[in-house]
Amino acid sequence: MRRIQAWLPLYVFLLLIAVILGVRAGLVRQALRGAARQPAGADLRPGAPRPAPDSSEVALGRLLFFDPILSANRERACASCHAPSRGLSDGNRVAVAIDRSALARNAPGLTNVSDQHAFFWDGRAATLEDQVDGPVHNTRELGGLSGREIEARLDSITAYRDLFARTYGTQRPRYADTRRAIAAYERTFRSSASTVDRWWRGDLPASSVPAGVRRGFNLFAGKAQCSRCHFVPLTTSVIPGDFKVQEFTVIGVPRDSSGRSLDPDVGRYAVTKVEADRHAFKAPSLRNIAHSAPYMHNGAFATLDQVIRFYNRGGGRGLGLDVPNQAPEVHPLHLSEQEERALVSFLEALSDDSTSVVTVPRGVPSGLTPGGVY
Amino acid sequence: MVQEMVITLREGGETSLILALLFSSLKAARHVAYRAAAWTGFAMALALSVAAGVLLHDLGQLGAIFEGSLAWIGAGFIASLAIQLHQNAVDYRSQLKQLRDSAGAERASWTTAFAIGSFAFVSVIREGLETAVFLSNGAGLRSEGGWLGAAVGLSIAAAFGVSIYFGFRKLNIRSFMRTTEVLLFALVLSLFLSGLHEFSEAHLLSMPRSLDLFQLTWIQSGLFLQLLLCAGPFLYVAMANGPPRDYIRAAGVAIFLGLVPLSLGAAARVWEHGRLAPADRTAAVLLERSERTRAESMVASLHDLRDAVRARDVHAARSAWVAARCSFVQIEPLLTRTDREMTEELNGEPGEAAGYHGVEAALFQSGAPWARDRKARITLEGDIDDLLARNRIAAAKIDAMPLDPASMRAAWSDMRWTLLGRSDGQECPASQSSILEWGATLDAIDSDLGAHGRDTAPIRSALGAALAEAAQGPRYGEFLAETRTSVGRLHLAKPVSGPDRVWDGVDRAALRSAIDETFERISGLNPEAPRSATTGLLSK
Repeated sequence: MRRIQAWLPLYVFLLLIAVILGVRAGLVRQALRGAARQPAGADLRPGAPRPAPDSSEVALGRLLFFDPILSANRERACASCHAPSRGLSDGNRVAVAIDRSALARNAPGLTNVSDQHAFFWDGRAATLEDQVDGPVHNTRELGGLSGREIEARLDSITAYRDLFARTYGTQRPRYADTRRAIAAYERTFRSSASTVDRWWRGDLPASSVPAGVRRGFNLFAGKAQCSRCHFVPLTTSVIPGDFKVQEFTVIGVPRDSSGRSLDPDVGRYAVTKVEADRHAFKAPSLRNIAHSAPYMHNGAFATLDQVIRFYNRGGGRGLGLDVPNQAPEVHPLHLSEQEERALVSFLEALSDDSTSVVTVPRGVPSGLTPGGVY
Repeated sequence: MVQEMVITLREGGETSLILALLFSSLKAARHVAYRAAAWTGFAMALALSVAAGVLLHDLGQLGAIFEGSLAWIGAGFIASLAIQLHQNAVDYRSQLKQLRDSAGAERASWTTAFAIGSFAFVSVIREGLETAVFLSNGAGLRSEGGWLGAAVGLSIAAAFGVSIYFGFRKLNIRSFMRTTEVLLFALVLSLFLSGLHEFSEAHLLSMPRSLDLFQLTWIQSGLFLQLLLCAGPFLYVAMANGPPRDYIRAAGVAIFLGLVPLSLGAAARVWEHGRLAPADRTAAVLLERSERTRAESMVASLHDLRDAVRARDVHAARSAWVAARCSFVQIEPLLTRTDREMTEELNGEPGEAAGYHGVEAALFQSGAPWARDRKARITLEGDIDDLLARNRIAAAKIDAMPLDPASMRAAWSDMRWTLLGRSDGQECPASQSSILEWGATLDAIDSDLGAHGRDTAPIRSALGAALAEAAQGPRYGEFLAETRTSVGRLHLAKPVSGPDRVWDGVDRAALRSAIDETFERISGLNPEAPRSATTGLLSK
C-alpha cells in the first residue's frame, strides 16, 4: 500500500496522459502517421532529388491499378474512379459506389498526387500507401476486401505470383506490397510540360505565353489570392519554405451549384475533432485541373468558370451561407469578367497532355476487364 | 560550435542533475540490481536518442505529443521520488545505517528495480531525443566544430552531475535531502507546464494565456532552471542553519553556477573566431553586432507596440508593429537555422499561435476596434505579451550565436523558398507592410552579404514602383484578411476589411524570376545568373 502511495503522482500523470490522448485519438493517429512518413523522405521541395521509381514495381502497380481483382464484385478498379481519359478522375459529380449508388465525395484527379503530405479530401491518410487502404477496405467503394482476401486472390493467379516474386522476392503476394506497388505507380502521374511550367522554367519566353495566361498568373498570385492556398509552384496546399506542412481550408462549399445551402460534409473535422476544422478540406493540386471536372470535394461546380465565380463572390459567406469559420482570405474579390476569364485561361494553361501517357493495359493478369466494367 | 554546446549543456544539465540525485540515493541502498537497472535505463535511452537523431529529422506534431507525454511521465516520476525522499528523510541517518546493515541480506525487489530503470530511461530520453533530433535537424551539426561543441556541452553537463554525486558524501544529508525535495518539486512544476505547453502545441489541450506566458518567460527560456541552480546553495545553507559565512560561500557557488554558461559561451566564441581568416574575423564581429542590434531593435519595437496599444495610439502601434516585423525578417534566416519551430511560432502560421500575423490581424483591423473596446484591447495586449516573450527568447538565441560570412550566406540561401512563397505579396496583407518587409529583407541581404546591392538588384527592379511607393512613407491601409490563420485562434468575431492594393502593379512572374536569379547568385550556383534563369522553380 505504501509503495502504491509513493508512486501515486506517476499513476496520476499517466492517467492524465491516457485521457488526453484518448479524447483526441484522431489527432494522435494523424501525428503518428505523419512521423512515420518523415523517414521515408517525402521531400517536396521543388528541385529536391526524388527517388527513382523501380520500374518493375511501377509495372506491377499499373496492373493492380487497372485490375478489378481488388474489388469484391471484380467489376471495379482504382481506374474506375481515376480514369486517364478523365484527368485521372471520373467526370462524375461524386464517385460511384460498388452498388452503383452515389458516394459522398468527388473522385479527385491524381495528376502530381505525390506533391502532397495528406491524402483524401480530409487528409486522413498521410501516405499514398495508406491512401490505398481507403477505397480497398471500404465496403461501399471497392467492396471492403481484407488484406488477406486480396492476398489469397492474387496468390491464385500465377502471373501475379511471378510478378510479386520478381519485384519483392516473396514467395506469395503480400497486401503490403500491393499498396507499395500501387503507390509507386501513382507517383509516376506527373505533369510538368504545361504552358505555364515551360514559361516558369524559362523554356518558353514570356512573349510566347498568351497575354491572358500571364495576366491570369498575376491575378492568381495577387488580387485573386489563389496562391494563398494553392502555393506556387506545386499548386497544392503544401506551404513553401520547407514544404513539410499541408493546410486545410474552410471555403464554404455549397451543397450544389445553386448555392442555397452549405454542404453538410464536416471534412477535416472528422479527422481532428478540432472545431476550426469543421468543413475544412485540402486544396488539391491544380495540375491538369482543366481535365478533371467537376470541382470541389462534392463536385458542386461543373466548370472552372463556376469555381472562379464562387471565389469571386466570397465563398460560402459570399453566397449568404452561414460559415462562421470560413477562412478570412476567402472574401469578395471584385474581379471583373475579363479577370475571371484570365484566371480560367491560366488554370487551363496549367494542364498538359501528360495523362495521355497513362495508358490502359490491354489485359490484366486476372483476365478481368482492365479499368473495371462501370 | 557555441550553438551545439549551448544545446547539449542546457538539455544535459537538467538530466544530469536528476540522474546525480538518483544515483546518490542508490549509493545508500547498495543494491547492485538497482544500480544496474539505472544504468540499463540510462544506456537504453542514450542509444535510442542517438538512433532517433540519425533516423528522424522531424517528428512533426508527434514530437510535441511525445515531448508532452515524456514531460508529464518525468513529472510523475520526480514527484514520486520527492515524496519517497520526504517520507524517508524523517530519520534519514538511521535509515541509511539500517540500509547499510541490511543491504547484504535483503533481496532486491524487481518492481523497484524496474521503476528505477524506467526513471533513468525517462529522464534521459526526455531531453536526449529532443537534443538528438534538434542537433541533426535544427543546428544540424553542420558548422565546423559542431560535434566538438556538442561533446563539450555534454561533458560539462556530465561533470556537473558527477560533482553532485561525489559531493553528496561530504554534505549534510538531511539538509541536502530537504533542498533536493524543494528543487524536485520545482522541477515537477516546470515539467508539468512544459508538458501542458507541448500538448497545447499539438492541439490536444488549450493552455491559459497567462500560464503559457509564464512557461515561455521562465521555463522555455531556461531562466527557471538557472534560478533553481543558483537558489540551491542558499536553500541548502538555510536548511542546515549554517552560519552567515556559509551564505557568503553559497553566494560564491551561485555566482559560479550563473557565470559558467556565460564564460563558456564567450570562450567558445573566441575559439570560433580564432579559426577564421583575419578578414572573416572582422566580418564576423560586425555581423554579430549587426544581428544583435536587429534583435534588440525588434524587442524594443515590441515594447513600443505594447505601450502604444495601452495608450490607444493606433498610428504609433501600427508603426511599431511594422518596425518590429522588419527587424524580425532581417534575423529570420538565422533564427530559422537555429530553431525552425520557434520561427514558425513567431510568424504565427498556419494558425498555430498568435505570432506576428496574429497580432497584425487584430492591430490593422478596419477601424481599429481595439482602440475603443477594452476587451479587444486586453486580448491584443495578451497577444503582444506572448509575442514579446517569444521574441526575447529569439533575441537571446541570436545573441548566443557566433557568426561568420559563410554561415550567413548559407542562412540566406536557405530562405529562397520562403521568400518565393512571399512573392505573392499576401504574407502581410495589412497595407504596405509586406512591401516594407521586402525592403528590410533586401537591405539585410545587401548588408550581410556585402555585394553592394548587386545580388538584390533584380528583385528591387521587379518590385520597382511598389518599393518606391512604400518608401514615401507608411500609409497603413487597413486590410481584409489575415493569411492562413484561423479566425478562432485570433479571437476575431468577423474578418477585417479594406485591402491595400500596393502589390497590384507588381508582375508576379517577373518577381519570381528575379528571386530565383538573386538566390542563384547568393547560393553561388551562378554568380552571373542571367535574367532568364529560373531553373529549380519546378520539380519534374
